[in-house]
Amino acid sequence: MYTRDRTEEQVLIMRAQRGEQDAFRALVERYQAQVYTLARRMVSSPQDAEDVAQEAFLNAWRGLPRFRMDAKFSTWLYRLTVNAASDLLRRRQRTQETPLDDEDSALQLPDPAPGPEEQAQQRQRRAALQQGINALSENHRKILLLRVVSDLDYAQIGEILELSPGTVKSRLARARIELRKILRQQGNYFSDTSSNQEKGGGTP
Amino acid sequence: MRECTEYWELISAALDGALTSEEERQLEAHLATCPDCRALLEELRAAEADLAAPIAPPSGFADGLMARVATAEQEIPFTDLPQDRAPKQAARSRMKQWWKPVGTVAALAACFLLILGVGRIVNLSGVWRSNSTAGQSEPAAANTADTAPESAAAVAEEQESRESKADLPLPEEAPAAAEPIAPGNMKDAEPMDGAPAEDAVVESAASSSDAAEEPWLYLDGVLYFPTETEVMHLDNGYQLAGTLPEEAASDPALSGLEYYTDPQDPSQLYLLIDGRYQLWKTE
Repeated sequence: MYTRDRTEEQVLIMRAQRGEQDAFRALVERYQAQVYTLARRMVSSPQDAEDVAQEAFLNAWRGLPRFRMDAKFSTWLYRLTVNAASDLLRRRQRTQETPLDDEDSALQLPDPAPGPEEQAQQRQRRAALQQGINALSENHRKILLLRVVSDLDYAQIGEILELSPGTVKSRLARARIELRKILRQQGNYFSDTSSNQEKGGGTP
Repeated sequence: MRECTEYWELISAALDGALTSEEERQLEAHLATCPDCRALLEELRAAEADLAAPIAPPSGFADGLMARVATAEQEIPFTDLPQDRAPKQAARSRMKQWWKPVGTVAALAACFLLILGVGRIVNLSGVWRSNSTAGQSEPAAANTADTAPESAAAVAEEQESRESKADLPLPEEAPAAAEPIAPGNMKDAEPMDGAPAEDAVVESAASSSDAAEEPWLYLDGVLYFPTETEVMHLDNGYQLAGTLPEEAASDPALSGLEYYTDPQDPSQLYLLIDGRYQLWKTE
């Protein structure tokens, strides 16, 4: 059924390559959540994330005729997303614009059955987590998000970031250690899961 | 006993499900004696589960996007797929016409002048549909039009860092400026996706009544049927190496373009066009 799905998607891609907007829209609907989530994690503010996701899809539309069928469409899209996010972050840095506040964690897809209190708590923790992600270096952020959010393997990540799978593996380890250290320093994220592990000895 | 830091990479790989059984055993042994590393693994696992939760795009995202798409031009338009046998034959004989008499580099020069002359690099990227392992024994004979397979046209295969280029403004850039990626490397870089992806079958795209098993190449809006040798090349990817044939090196029309010949088969000339290595069969 995997093959079947591929085939369906590839028909959409081929049609979109020929300029059929309906087919492209179907592809957008298929991938918008993944692309938006990745963008959102990369740039944090909802407005920026929407811009980034739109830019990524727009670039996909423009570049589709050059898309090669033996590549994976999703991987390509994530690459465009990461690139658009990097562009935006660079622009922000140059112009010293401050991104809008991360105010709408409410847009998170609802979890199965959380009570209101638990929900608030979870929102808080997720905000803390996003702050931790924001504090990562851009390289660490990219690699970790491609792995965890986009669920790509080392080789696919390596293709996007132009790194060998071995480098991906070791950089991922460093990114994770950095994230955990940041989250521990912030102190808001791990407090309820492992308050008994105050020091978290392995951290640098 | 080893330092905890030496286990960090294993802990990270464990989160990715990328441990060998030996590594798994090592890590288990360490975790059994090290609460700190256990905490590290657990905390990261929790954090990543939270991180992976999808966030819904704002409502109307697709509508807003499609409004922009409607006015955004694609880089290069594709023409329609041929719908039946006739255009395929036409395509093939057209290519013969092109290539047979001129044969070698002169044809390439002519082709390039044509391509460059219109002020825009024509899209030569193709969609390669192989029947995988069966590709090597493709039933070329079943193709009634297949009078002279070895002269059956130019076949281009793209191997390029297309994805990374896709967000560049336009394809008008000088061809030689683009960086190629050797196809072998691309495949190596994609073990999860590599082989099966070749098998990408788009049944509805090809008129499959009489050629369901036949590998094809959708190139520049035209469907081609590569020869057996070409199928082999396309299936394996090209090894790019070698030097220019003399007659090509001296041709001013080709100066500035990068090209290679296959050491295994010097009659195969590869050109770097628009960031892609493309095979031009010169025989």
